Amino acid sequence: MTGAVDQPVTDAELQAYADDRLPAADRLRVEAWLIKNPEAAAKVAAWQDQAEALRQHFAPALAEPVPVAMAALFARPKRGEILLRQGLRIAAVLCIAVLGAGAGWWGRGYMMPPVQVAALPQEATRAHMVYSREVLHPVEVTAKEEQHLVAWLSKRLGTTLRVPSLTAQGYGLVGGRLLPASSGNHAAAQFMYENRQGQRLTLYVRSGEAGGDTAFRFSGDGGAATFYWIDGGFGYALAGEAGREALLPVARSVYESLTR
Amino acid sequence: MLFRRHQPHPIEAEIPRLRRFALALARDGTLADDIVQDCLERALAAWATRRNDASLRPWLFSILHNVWRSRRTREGNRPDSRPLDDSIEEPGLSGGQWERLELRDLDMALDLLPEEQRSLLLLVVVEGLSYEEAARVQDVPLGTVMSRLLRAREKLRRLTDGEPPHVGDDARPHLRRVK
Repeated sequence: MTGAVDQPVTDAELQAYADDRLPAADRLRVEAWLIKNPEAAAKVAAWQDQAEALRQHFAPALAEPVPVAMAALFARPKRGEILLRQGLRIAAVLCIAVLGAGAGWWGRGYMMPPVQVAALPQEATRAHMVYSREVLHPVEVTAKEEQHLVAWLSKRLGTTLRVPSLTAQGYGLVGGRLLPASSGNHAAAQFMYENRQGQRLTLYVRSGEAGGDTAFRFSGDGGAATFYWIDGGFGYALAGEAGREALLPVARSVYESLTR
Repeated sequence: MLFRRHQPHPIEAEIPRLRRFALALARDGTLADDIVQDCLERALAAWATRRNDASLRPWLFSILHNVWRSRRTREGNRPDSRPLDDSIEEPGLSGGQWERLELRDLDMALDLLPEEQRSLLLLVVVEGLSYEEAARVQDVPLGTVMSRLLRAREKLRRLTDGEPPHVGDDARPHLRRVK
């Protein structure tokens, strides 16, 4: 036991001492205390030995050569490669257009509204999983053209959309895109947000919700946490992968700002 | 924009450290490089919007950690299945295997730590991040980092001393090493 003048030393302080992260005054106090507590001193010494062993263990990894695929991200492609890549992209778009037209013709007899409409959270989660992973083209229209983005998607969804600001929660708007909704000829809009750590959230808005309004609900299926609700014929869903607790305050703020 | 050939991007110099951190998380070289690749692409895409005063290494580590975590979530397909607090030990090896293991080997001992403990040791002890920076990377409160680090150290110490991991009041029987 220490004398009455000494403050007790916690494990957290011992650890910070072992890591050399204590201010000078605290360091002296801990040192004095350790002299009287050989068991704790042995523990600190063991931690420091362990730290040294870990540093040695992990040191060789730094000398390994960088894989080509990683280095390639930082190399400027040659002009020929750029042209080839653009060519391939155009070819892919044409291919999809031809397939799409064919499918449209073939499917012309099936334009009755489907009986079973994919549930709102499933559709929102799916769209989130696809586009939040996208590195090159996460959105169709970026936040730089926010006015245009909102006007365009409002027109397509047939309502005046409001894009909630999530800057207070640390998320900035990346942009948005138009998506097909599974209900009849209705459309959906997806707005993407990102924080400084690169975590992404998507707000999904779908028109043509036939059922009545619903309360604020949660779904954890499909790989993301999704909060959703239906309000005035529109379905709203906020999806993210940060986990339910982390998403809840953000979703609540979106809900409040949109249902106000 | 044109980059001169002999002026490498600041992120490039961090690749070896990112690979090392990824390896500490994934413990599998191929998977580790896969998440580093993902991390680099995200970092490059976010480069223009990065705050200049934020230091580069913890920023990159945070992105990598997020990539790793979303991948784990996706594979598990249940976002809430994994507790964020690792005070509950992960199921490790079943009882019988302990007897055959020589746990003095540091590498093997590291394998037996929960990934958040192992990667935290790397962040703080090896990379020298402050406790606050490590807390931001792992996206947990500072107090969690301190207690997690203590648990990691004690568990690693027990493992390298050749004891089986202590599992508290868990159902796993407490076994002695058989010589």
